Amino acid sequence: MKSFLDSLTVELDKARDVLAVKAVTRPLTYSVQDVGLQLQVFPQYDGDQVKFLTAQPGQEGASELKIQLGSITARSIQETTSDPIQRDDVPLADLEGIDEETKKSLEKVGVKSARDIERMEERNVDLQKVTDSKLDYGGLANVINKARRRTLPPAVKHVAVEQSDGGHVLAVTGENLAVAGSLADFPVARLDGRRVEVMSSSPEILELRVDPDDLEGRERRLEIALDPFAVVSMSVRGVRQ
Amino acid sequence: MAIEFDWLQPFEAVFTGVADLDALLVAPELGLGMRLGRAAIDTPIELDVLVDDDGAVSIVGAPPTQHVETTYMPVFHQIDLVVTADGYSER
Repeated sequence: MKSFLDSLTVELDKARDVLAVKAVTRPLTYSVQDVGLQLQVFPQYDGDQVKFLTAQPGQEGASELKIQLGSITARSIQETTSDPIQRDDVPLADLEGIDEETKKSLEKVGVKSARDIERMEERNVDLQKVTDSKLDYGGLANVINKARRRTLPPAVKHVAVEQSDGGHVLAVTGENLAVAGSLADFPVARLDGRRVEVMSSSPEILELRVDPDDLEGRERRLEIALDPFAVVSMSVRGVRQ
Repeated sequence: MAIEFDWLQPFEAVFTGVADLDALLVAPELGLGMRLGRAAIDTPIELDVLVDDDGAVSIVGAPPTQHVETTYMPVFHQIDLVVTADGYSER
């Protein structure tokens, strides 16, 4: 039914585009305001989904399914529909590590993406009760962060030592660096195997407390675990200016 | 045996066909003109739902292709359309 309605609205959109072109050359144009369909169908239930098959010639006993599409305003759409899935969000279907049955139970309570799950956690919704499963937010956060990492791979663009109030910091700038905000223990950084303090982190910049003397001379290995699914490593050598 | 409904067109053609009105009626000798503001169409229709190899669904349809009763009649669904002129409002 969802595929059918999607297809019907696509056909309506196409028709509207054609009529919009006609409006250029004609002084008076018409548009389709309301559409109603009474379909002869055979409903089928497989224990999980209801499907409708259109009746074929010679088949009798079909049910009548009535659909009414009315024109609505942009304001009505905003008030009654959720926002489209954003670029940095992950659709529920793309979350690996969640079985299909659990995904279906999440869909039934209106979850379409990773952000919907995070909203439920913010509102303290009891996940196990509403989905009738053994899901917990901790396990889901791992799945979400892993999927998010796949769509938002980190990229380091620039590394520089800067003076700050408390000494020197190694500023690592780039894109999608610290995107897993719900993981308290990350990011973690090591310089030649020794742990260095992460002073601040964001998707654009990481600030690590360093002693400039440690960077001089030979190359050092800098490794940063941004989250459990993304580790960047690079060789750095300080040059005094 | 699958039946090929070659005569059915994408549903978009049904909508644009119905809305392709040119209803400006002018009587120059009387100095009068009228235009169609709103039309409601309620008609039987043949349609089929096609699913391609990728699972994409498309709807095809056409007005009834036969009026004579035969052993195997096409299935007639029903469509109601309301078409309005741009800028039309009911007073």
